[in-house]
Amino acid sequence: MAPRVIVVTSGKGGVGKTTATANIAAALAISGNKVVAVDGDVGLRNLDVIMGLENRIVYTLVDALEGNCRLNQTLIKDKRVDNLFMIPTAQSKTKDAVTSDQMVNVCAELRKDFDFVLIDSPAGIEAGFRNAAAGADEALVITTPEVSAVRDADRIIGLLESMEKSPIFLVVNRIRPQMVKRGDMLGVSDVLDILQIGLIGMIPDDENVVKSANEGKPLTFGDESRASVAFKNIAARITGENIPFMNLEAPQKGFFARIRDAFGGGR
Amino acid sequence: MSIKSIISSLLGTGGAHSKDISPEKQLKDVSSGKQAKGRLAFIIAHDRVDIGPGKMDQMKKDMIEVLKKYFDINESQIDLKLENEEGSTALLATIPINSVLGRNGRTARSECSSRK
Ligand SMILES: Nc1ncnc2c1ncn2[C@@H]1O[C@H](COP(=O)(O)OP(=O)(O)OP(=O)(O)O)[C@@H](O)[C@H]1O
Ligand SMILES: [Mg+2]
Repeated sequence: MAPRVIVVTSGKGGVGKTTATANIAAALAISGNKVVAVDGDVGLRNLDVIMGLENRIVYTLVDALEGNCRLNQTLIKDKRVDNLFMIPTAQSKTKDAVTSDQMVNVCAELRKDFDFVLIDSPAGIEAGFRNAAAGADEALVITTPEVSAVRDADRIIGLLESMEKSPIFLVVNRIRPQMVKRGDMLGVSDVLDILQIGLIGMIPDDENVVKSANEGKPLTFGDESRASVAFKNIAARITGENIPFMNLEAPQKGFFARIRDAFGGGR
Repeated sequence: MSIKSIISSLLGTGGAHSKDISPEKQLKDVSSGKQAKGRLAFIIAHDRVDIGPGKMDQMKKDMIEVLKKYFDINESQIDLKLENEEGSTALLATIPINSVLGRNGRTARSECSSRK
């Protein structure tokens, strides 16, 4: 299989790009792919923290670009699962520390060693986004079901199309099924009507996302929370599996039901 | 009254005929999710062609000047709006014309489309 380079983007900030990058990268690695997650948000690095690898950083992407080290010295291997790596960026630099051409070269280099390169992009339409996206073939656009986020997603999708990224898929994050049911939140079908782009995932708003960020342990490492399953499903769809979308409105299985299942119950 | 016309009258984009329910009442009846969708459709249609509602008003005035040379029209009944259909944006204009021959005025509806 040819290596795939995917940028994770959004128009509006704070909608879940870094969370999605970490969890999808982890899920892809667990299902047997060799994966590197690259922090493309120069100056506001977060991916290391969400993945729980912040204590292992020696060199950053910017160090490699400035010639202070080789690119493979920036790779941090996740010891908790096989095949998962992360490249941190610099916290003390600005967006200008990396150029589009450099990102294209970095991605070309990483293609030689990995099945998947996932790039966590900064929000917005500025140089930081353009650089992060420069070396990618494909894109995931993250949005929440809110007017401002969807509006900005439309803008980003237009830019990604003009940059000839393909395919471009949408992830709708932080869905609150009860609110959608009451008619107080945009449903996924509403968002798709407006944006006219393929859907690859629907992630519920889930407290476990916050807990996993606190612990520095991607949900998809093991957790069976709904958000975790939703992220794993995205990873599976990326690899071409045909996984039906979760029914977010179905009641979640309680503790006892899960225990029963574990002991072969649930007949 | 269809949902679409409720939304468009909420947005003030409805035609001259959609004022049978007061906006206050409609606002209460339409869920916030529906309002969100209506507002989004409107905002994105304008974003995609890069013409804001203010510019549309200006264009409407310009169009009226031209149209007046050819037709007897009632300015207050003209309705211009942008609509999205499957990735392309259309400018929909409803321009009722007062017929010169005295029969009840027919409505001429013209459309022009552009890819987004
Ligand atoms: N599905 C979810 N359920 C609950 N909380 C979530 C969910 N997704 C993201 N969050 C929370 O939203 C916040 C922003 O997430 P994240 O940092 O991934 O967004 P981002 O798009 O990378 O932000 P930025 O634009 O600043 O880079 C975090 O506090 C995260 O825990
Ligand atoms: Mg981020």
